[in-house]
This record gives sequence, structure tokens and C-alpha cells, in this order.
Amino acid sequence: MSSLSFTLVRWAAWAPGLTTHEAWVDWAQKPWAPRGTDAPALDDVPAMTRRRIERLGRVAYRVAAECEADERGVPAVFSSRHGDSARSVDLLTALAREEALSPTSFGLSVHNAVAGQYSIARKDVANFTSLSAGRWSAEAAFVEAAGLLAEGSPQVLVVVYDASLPPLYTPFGDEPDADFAWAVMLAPGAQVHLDAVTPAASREGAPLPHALEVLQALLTRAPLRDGPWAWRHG
Amino acid sequence: MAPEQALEVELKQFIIETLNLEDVKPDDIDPAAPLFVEGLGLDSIDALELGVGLQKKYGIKLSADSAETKKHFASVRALATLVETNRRPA
Repeated sequence: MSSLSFTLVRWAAWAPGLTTHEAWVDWAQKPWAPRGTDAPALDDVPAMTRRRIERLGRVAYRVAAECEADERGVPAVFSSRHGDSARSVDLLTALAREEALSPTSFGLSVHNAVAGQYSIARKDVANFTSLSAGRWSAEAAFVEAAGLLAEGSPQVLVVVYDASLPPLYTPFGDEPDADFAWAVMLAPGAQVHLDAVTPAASREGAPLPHALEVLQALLTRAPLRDGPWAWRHG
Repeated sequence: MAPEQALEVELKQFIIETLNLEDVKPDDIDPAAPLFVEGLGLDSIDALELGVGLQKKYGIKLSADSAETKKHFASVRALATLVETNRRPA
């Protein structure tokens, strides 16, 4: 069994109806899948930059900035299973109708646009990684973070975010829809362990997408096993 | 309002909507001031976005890199001249 270990320095999370630490601590005791189109205002971001950060990006920005505060230069791993899939559907729909694509929207449709906008808005030229790894996108971000810590980074920021699938993709969804972002500042240590295990079946009919199960396990320090990964604490 | 002024106001509104300039009002834009870098502070992605928008709304097709295009994008006033001379009835 191989194992990766971390210290959880700080965390932040945001979703429609869950905008404070206290609300999330309560949520972790009795979790539900948050849905909605609300987004944080990002008043601290200049309007000329903010105009290109849309809903999903704003939620991810908010938790990343809350976790990182005034720090700059911390390597960051952004992870999202579906990314801004609503934008991709809009672009593909325009293409199918043979309409001109919005260059701005096209530019922002790449998976790393959210991390890129964060980096631009904060004038932070740290190492930014964006990834997607299906159901286990959150675990993949921690694997990436373990690599960065092993290379000598004192801290790594992990940002996990997703949105409900656009209706066109709903038939392909295999997890409950949710709109959320959470972030953790990680450092070397032995507080949280992520083990690669013999794959277990994923629980069918779980009320949360797996990325929120991981957050719940981190907040409650409860063990969690899903597919090829197991989380434990202490 | 003179027709050329009305067109300038219309173009300001078009720029604000097309580029999602949430905090800008038409009166904030000086029709003679540069749109790019200085003045309004737009960038190259905005130029492409305006090009697509002009085509959609006014049927004006611009070549992406000509010096002529650069001249038309200098200010709201220059853009109004371009639209006035090239607009096709919708």
C-alpha cells in the first residue's frame, strides 16, 4: 500500500447557501448537495479583470483567495471534474448553428482558464496546475500536491470546484449535481493520509458528488474509502 | 441629439454590453479617447470580440491585422465613422 501524508494548514469552502466556515462545519455533520447560481461578488478584484471571471471561476477564486490570503508564490493545483462545461456547450451550440464564436468565451473555455484568471488577478506567477481526473479529481489534486511538497515547496494550495452539468449532459452524469468550491492549504506532515488501495466499488446512490465527500471527510476527520483511494486521519 | 452623437451613444452601449464592462456607463467613455491600452484600457481579446460583434450587429467585416482596422478601432468616434459609412440595413 502506498500512502501520501499532509498537514491541513487552512481550509475554505463556498457554495450557494453555504458561505461561512460555521455553515460548512454544520454541513459536514449532515451534508447535502448545494445547488444554485449565486456567486461571490469578488469586490477586491478590479472590474476590468473581474468581467472575465464568471460564476464557476468566482466561486473557485473566492475559496483560493480566502485560503491564501496575502501570500503569493505558493504553487496551486486547481481540480475540477467537469470544469466550465456550460460554456463549452454554449460554444458548441454556436458552432452547430454556424454562428461566430465569442473570442473571449473561447479563450476562457480551456480547463486552466480559472487558474489563469486567478493568477492574473492576483499578479501571482507561482506554479499553477489544472487537472481533471473523473470521479477522483480531488484525490488527483492531492497526488499532484504531494509531488510539489516532495520537491521542496513548503506549502501547496489545492482548489477543488465543480458545477451542475448543463441539461444536455445530464444523461451522462454519474454523480449528484452540485455547485461548490473548496480549498485547502497543505504542508508536509502526518495529519491526513491518502492511501492507494485495492479498488473498492464506489457507493451507488450517494447523496454527494465524491469531491464533497472528500471535503466532508477532511472536516469531520472521518475515514472515507472510494474506488482506488482511502482517506484516514491522525 | 445629432444623428452622429446618437450613433456614438449606441456604440458605447454596444461596447459595454459586448465586453461585459459592468462598472462602465456610456457617459464614462470619452468618444475621442483611445479605446485600447490607454483610455478605456481594452486589450487584444476585446479587439477580436468587438470585431465579431460589429459583424453580427452591423454586418461589417474587418480584416484582423490591417492598419486600416487599427485606425477604425482608435476611438468611439472613429468606430462611428466606420459604422456610418459601412452599415447595411438589418
